[in-house]
Amino acid sequence: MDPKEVLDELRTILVTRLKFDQRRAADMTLETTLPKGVEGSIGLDSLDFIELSIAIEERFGIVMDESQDLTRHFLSFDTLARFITARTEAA
Amino acid sequence: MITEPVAIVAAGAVTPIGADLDAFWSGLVIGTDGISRIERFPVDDLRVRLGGEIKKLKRERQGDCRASQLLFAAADDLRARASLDAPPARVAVVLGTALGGVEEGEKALAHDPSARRAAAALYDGPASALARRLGARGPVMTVSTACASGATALGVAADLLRSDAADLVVTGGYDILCRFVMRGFDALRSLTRDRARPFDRRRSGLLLGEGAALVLMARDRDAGGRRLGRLLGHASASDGAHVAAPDPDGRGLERAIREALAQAEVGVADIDFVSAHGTATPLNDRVEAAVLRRVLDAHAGRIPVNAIKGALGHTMGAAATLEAVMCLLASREGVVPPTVGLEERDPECELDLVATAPRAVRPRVSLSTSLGFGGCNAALVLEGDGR
Amino acid sequence: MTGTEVAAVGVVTGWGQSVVALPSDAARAAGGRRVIAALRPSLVGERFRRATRECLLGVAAVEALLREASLGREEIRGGETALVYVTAAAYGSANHDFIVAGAADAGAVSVGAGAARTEHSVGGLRKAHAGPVASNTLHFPYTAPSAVPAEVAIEFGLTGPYVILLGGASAMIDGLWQATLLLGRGQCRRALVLAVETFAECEPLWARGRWLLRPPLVESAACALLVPGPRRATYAPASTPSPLEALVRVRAGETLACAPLIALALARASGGAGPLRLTGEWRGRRAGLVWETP
Repeated sequence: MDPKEVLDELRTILVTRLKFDQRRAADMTLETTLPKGVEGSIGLDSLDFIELSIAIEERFGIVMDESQDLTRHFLSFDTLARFITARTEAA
Repeated sequence: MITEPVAIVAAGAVTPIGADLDAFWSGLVIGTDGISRIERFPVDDLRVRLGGEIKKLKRERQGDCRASQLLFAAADDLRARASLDAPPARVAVVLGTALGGVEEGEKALAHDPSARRAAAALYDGPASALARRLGARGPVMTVSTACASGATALGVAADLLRSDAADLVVTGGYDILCRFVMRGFDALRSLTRDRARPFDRRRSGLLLGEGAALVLMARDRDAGGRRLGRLLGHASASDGAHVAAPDPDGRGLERAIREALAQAEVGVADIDFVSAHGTATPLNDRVEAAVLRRVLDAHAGRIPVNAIKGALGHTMGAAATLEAVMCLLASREGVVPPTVGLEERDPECELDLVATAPRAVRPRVSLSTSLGFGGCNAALVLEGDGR
Repeated sequence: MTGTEVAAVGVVTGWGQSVVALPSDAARAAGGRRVIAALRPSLVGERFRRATRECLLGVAAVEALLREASLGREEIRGGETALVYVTAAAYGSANHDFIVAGAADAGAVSVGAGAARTEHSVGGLRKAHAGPVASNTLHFPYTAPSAVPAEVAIEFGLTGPYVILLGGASAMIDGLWQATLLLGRGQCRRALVLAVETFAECEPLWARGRWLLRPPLVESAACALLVPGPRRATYAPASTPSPLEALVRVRAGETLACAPLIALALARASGGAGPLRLTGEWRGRRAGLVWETP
């Protein structure tokens, strides 16, 4: 999957699972940052990240190792898309 | 602040490690592990299938919801130890619960949408049922401050007595294991796939449990000679931070502890023992340990601390009441139970934790802390009778 | 112990904003409708993206209070404001949705239950949510009764004492009593006493409880501000409804835990001096709180 396709899937997840507004999600790009506390981010907190992880696991068929610290992959849609692509290719 | 002492006359309980108060206590002291594979409802589709399940009740009652059954069992135990000697209109019931009769809601939606079932599904249903069973015609209240409910209930009960709105209060907390709560905590990824290890450096989450704990409260001057102890102070404070996670700085918990100590007119130097909330999630234990260190300060090194959720699971509404009762029993028996599940202390949790074996110490004044979902922090200051 | 005073009350109901929107006869105005639903407040801010309708109503009630009291948000922020929350029903819809979603996940949902889910979207209210019934992780914390006061505490920065009671009007009397104690003991400088009641999503279940509640069931959210003041409040059982309790039932309908707060708002609107006599009943118990004349 290329990053744009992954981004589209993530946008859908943001709307259907994380309750973001459609228009807001449409405005998001690969550069959009995710975590709360990061300037200009979409403000996801720990609860959102759990939901997002579960949704990613289900949608992309990958398994995330809970014991690992995956924070750096969830910094932006770009880092997340790369992570997902790498894991789906490895699988 | 002068507040009239309130006596805890007696207690009754039903728990995953013992079907009555005595069995609960000996189970705590010897470090019984109350966690097992859940059998009462399907769990195969869940990531975590373990919990502190009560396998068998002394009396199984047909037609009563499980929450009421646990309450009735605890009430039977309580009434074997103390009688409700007051006019019915002066006997109150105040119960804490996180989930109330929610399992009845599951049944109502699955196969039995009757009015009776729907009414029982309301969270305050079981308190009503208990009041009816006890013949209590005074105030009946259900407190629901999530996992702090069992503490808040005791505080409100004390208020009823001090305000002369009741002469006796049957108070405490309860909650049951059911699919609703197992699915929920599973979805939060709060449950551990290992075991619950409070304050352990390898801890990875909590396990749930069920139970009911009731105490009989009276104004101290009405209690006569015999009591388990006294409730000296209670306080609550909100985090105002997050709907599910605790405030990382624990300022709400700190505020609740200091306020409870002030109400009790007790200083940190007077504290002999702390019963911690200790759910064994990475975050809770870190925050709680930091707050306790901050509050106990120079005394932290000499005040034993334990957490019993490793043995029982997190019994939610029952937890804070069970922990309060444990404080009083520790005073009576001269033993502080170990923290089941704690084997390698997290170096960040710099407390005098009672780990693998019980400790021979007779606390007079105990502090019990609770942190509930949505930022509900509560603290109780208790005094044991020590005999 | 110091006395207390009710400084202001904010009210939002299915009839509209504040008690001026209440009809003179709720049963007649309902015209056969069992539930008078409150609109989902449209609150600005992505912070509310996950919040349920009942949480938003709680926030709306506090905002209504602030307007009534001409107070800014910064005046209630902090550790000196207590929050007392009472509800009989507001957690019902979140619980209902979570249970139904679980049955669907497990593949156990029958055609009946699936249809029931859409049936419960009264007046299209639930369609305001994007997508299907809420997924588990984000939804579960909102099934707890403590979610409403948690969102209110977060929104307004409230970090003081905290009590949550479950039940109808008598539980609100208990809640108001608790607030007077907290103020009287100096454990706070002001107390917000909040109630939210929603029914729409669970209407069929409430319909079966006809013997428990008389229609119309009117969704509402209300918040009173209590402060230290000259009036002593006496808390005692009541054998009969006070005139205010009867008036609220006639004007507003069945509002459960909100009823005593609506009573307070009506009393303030009519500007009477003299003792304030509040009563409330739930599950056969009637509680009372009387504020004496100062």
